Amino acid sequence: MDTLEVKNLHVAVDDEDGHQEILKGVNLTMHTGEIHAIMGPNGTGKSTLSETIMGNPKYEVGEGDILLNGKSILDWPVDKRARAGLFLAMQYPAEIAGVTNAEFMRAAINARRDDDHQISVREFIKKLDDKMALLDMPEEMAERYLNQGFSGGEKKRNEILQLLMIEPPFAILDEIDSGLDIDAMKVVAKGVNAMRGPNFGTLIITHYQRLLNYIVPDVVHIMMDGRIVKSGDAALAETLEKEGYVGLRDELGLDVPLTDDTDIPSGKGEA
Amino acid sequence: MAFGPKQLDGAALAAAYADLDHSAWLTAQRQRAAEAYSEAPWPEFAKVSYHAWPLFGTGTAAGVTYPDGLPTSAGVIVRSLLTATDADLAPFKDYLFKQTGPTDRLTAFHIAHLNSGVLIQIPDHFHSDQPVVLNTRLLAGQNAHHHVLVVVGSDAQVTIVDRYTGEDGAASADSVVTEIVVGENSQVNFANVDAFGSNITAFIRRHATVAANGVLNWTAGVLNDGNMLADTSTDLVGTGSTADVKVVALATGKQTQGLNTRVTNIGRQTTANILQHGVILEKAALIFNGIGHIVKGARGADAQQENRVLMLSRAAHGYANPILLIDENDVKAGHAASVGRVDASQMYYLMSRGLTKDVAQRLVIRGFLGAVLTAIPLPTVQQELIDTIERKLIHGQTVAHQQN
Repeated sequence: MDTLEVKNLHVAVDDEDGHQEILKGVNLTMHTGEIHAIMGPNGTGKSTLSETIMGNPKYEVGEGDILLNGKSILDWPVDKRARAGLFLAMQYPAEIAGVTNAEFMRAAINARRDDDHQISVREFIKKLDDKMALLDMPEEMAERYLNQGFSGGEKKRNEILQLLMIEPPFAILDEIDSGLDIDAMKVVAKGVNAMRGPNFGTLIITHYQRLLNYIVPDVVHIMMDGRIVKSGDAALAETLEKEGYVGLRDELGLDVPLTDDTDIPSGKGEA
Repeated sequence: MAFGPKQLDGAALAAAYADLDHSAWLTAQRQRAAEAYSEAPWPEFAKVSYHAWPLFGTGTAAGVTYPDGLPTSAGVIVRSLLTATDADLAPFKDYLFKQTGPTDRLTAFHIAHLNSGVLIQIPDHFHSDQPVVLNTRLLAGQNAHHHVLVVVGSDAQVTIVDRYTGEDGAASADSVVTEIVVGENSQVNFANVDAFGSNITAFIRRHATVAANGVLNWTAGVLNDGNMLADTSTDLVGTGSTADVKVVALATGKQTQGLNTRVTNIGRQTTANILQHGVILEKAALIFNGIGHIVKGARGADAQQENRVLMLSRAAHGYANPILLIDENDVKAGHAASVGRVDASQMYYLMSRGLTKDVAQRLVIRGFLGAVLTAIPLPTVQQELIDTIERKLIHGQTVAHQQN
């Protein structure tokens, strides 16, 4: 069993508003075999958390630690974290002309293997065919340039395809449901559920409870203003769906501005 | 010899080549070029200061070999330039040195000192799926002044692959000048790959003319290691003629590569496309001059170009310099140019899947060069080019790691 731990994580970014602390002490422990979901309003730091775990150099860790099987990975570059077992299905995957989807995925698989054990072409194609069929992806997608000209839905499916091909111990799915219609969401959920098992753990980041009807989580965390404010089982997501974030915030007695919240002064600008 | 001699002695050159030239006409061309030399201007390569390069090597012995011999295809006439008699030259005389006359200093020097060359005639109505492949190897320590003329008749369809490699070893100063004639209604796929070592300083000039409704699809791989100038020019003379010119270049080490890629729209309804993609490693410099010239009277002409350079090191120098010269109103023209670094978000994405920085970088670069590479007509040549690029990139990355 593998373990991923986030301890008192503080993360800042430099943007046009200056140096801003986004994560203000996040604690989270997950194991392979578990499905965790993080829900929270816009601007609360969900994507910052996923990018920081993966190792995006744009995010600066001020305090705290991230441990994979007890070892701190904070000093590791993104590629080393990936080879050690982390995977991030990105919200905005990059487009790369001239590099085919298939050749990229083969390179990604081989990056985890030594020179004497590279995946054979036959084995690779077999696996690719199987996984693409599972995700209802047409064969030609394999020979198209990586994400180039893909629709929003195609990009999401392609992220899940990579997940299925690489089979990492831990995957973070950053808003994999955004912009998907219900049928596409079911396909994506089918892909993730196919990975479910004792050797796979995932952290699903989502705004909406809907995806969690198809990928039922073991643990649900609610994040607000850079912290996890409440954790529970799958029922917590349903409660949230009914009450909304404002209801939960008030129930917890938190003094937290919500970005999309118009009734209550946010503390920023003129309300 | 840097800067070159002030003048050339035509009579002495004629005497030196008396036994080598089999055609009095050719010897007369040498003398004509020798006379033109002293007054001829340096060829224009914007932003490249090459005048101090050792470009003026001499020697009567051939500076090239043909590892696979000269091409043989049914119906195709192939002659060696120096051993061609006046009679052998008859079908070529109307074209030889016509596009690339002794109008600049380097071409004049080249013609005066020619020591090897190949003449190829593709007849009218020629059709073949088999490419005509010419492999030429530049010798170490032996200055080559090598001239190639390809004349394609009308209504023909042919693929020509013109590859240059070099022998490693002693330095040499070489010139390679190629003339291509595309006849009416003919379609020519021409691919040249120049890949020789740092011991060779070269002036490379290739010039094509395209007759009415002719199509020239030209792909060029410029992968030399030494300082070099490469001028790749096309004149769209005939009405409705088309040129699609794709250039890929890789500059490494301390070399300077200066490239002029030019298409001149002369005839009406002519279409020109230039696409140049280059990568610079280490301390190298790469200059892309993309020149689109629409002359007065070329009504309905279309001239488009895109020049892009990726720099992989802080010590690299790159220029993407689009030059549009338009002397006619009823035309379309456009250009795009950029000099940049490897996109950080692309690198992050690839590396987030476990690819090392080096592998990710090579993949992004191959993608960047892909638009040109995939246009190369012969799969084996395409693969060879990809392999050469991969090898050079790995070498460049290794050097970069050693410096860090």
